[in-house]
Amino acid sequence: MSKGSEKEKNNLKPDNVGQYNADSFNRLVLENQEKIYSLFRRMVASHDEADDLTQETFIKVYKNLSKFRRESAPFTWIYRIAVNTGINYLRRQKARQYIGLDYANLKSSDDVIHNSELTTRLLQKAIKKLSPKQQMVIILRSYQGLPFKDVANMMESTENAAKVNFSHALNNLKGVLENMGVSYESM
Amino acid sequence: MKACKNYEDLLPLYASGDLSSTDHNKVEEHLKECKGCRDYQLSLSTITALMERDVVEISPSYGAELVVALNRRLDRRSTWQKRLFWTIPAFATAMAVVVITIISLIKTEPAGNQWIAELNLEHDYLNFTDTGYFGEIPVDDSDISNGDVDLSTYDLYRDAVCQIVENPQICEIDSYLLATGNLDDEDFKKMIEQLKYKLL
Repeated sequence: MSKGSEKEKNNLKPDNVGQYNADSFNRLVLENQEKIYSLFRRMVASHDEADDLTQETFIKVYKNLSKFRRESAPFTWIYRIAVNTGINYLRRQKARQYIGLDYANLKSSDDVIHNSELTTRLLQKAIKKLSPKQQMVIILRSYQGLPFKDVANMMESTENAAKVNFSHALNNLKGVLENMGVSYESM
Repeated sequence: MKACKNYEDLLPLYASGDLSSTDHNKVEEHLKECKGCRDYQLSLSTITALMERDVVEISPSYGAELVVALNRRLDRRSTWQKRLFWTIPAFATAMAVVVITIISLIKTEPAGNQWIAELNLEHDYLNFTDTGYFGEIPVDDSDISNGDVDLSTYDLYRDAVCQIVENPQICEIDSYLLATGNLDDEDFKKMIEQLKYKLL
């Protein structure tokens, strides 16, 4: 275990009545907020939504601190809560057939995307067309840069299953982008 | 643009650098001779590179703002929990008091105090008799003035009730109602009138 995660574990010591005090919780938030916020920021169109999901995650963390068994680093445990929160959110959005950015509004006049910001937004839009689990595996592996071992741990699957899921997700993403008329030369 | 079926699942992992060395070499060999898979691979690498390049910008103050927002939400929760902690037992106690009060009102003589008040009004009559007779107690003005007989209004009433219960012919009032104290004001006045009549 790394020194960082050992330090994080020590920060999670309960006080004398078995409750986690506000200081240790605040420290936990400060140490992990960037990773959790950026995970959600990949998934949603606005800062406010990402912030809501980040807060929801940490509220769950707070409520379940006493259940944390310390078999893994707090970061892994928090990330897993975030991943579940994210997948549930994506499922709800799918159920509502949520459409964030309208692709038609993003398309340039000559049907070729030159602007890198637009390409990024198109990519995010394309990712939203994937299933919640495929979205999550793409975000965890490609955006967040987590190794498959961690991706598997957070998605509660095997490493092999996570790789297969990622492979299908990336192939599907490529197909969606092609259907959107994205030119890879412009990327 | 399509990849060869056998390589379709390997190419995304090749693009993300997650293949074992054996599979990695196998894919590299194949890419040298397959243009379709090379193009496919190029697209995947472009996508993964774009994702890896994309950095989320976070305000330096976000962490502190988040902590404040979370603490505020948790404080609000704990305030509500505390309120519920006290409200539920307080509400239960209040309900218990209400229930007990209702039960005791049902069980106690509803007009008992009024009877006493009425008796006070009738006090003059009850004391005016030269020789009143309630139950076995002979009442004489001289005894009252001497203080030999304690004839408080309540005692008079109690004795009158006992007498009527024991000798219901004295009075037409329902002796059960009388005994249980469930007489209303009208019945009480009636009883007093009848007592006047019988005793005078």
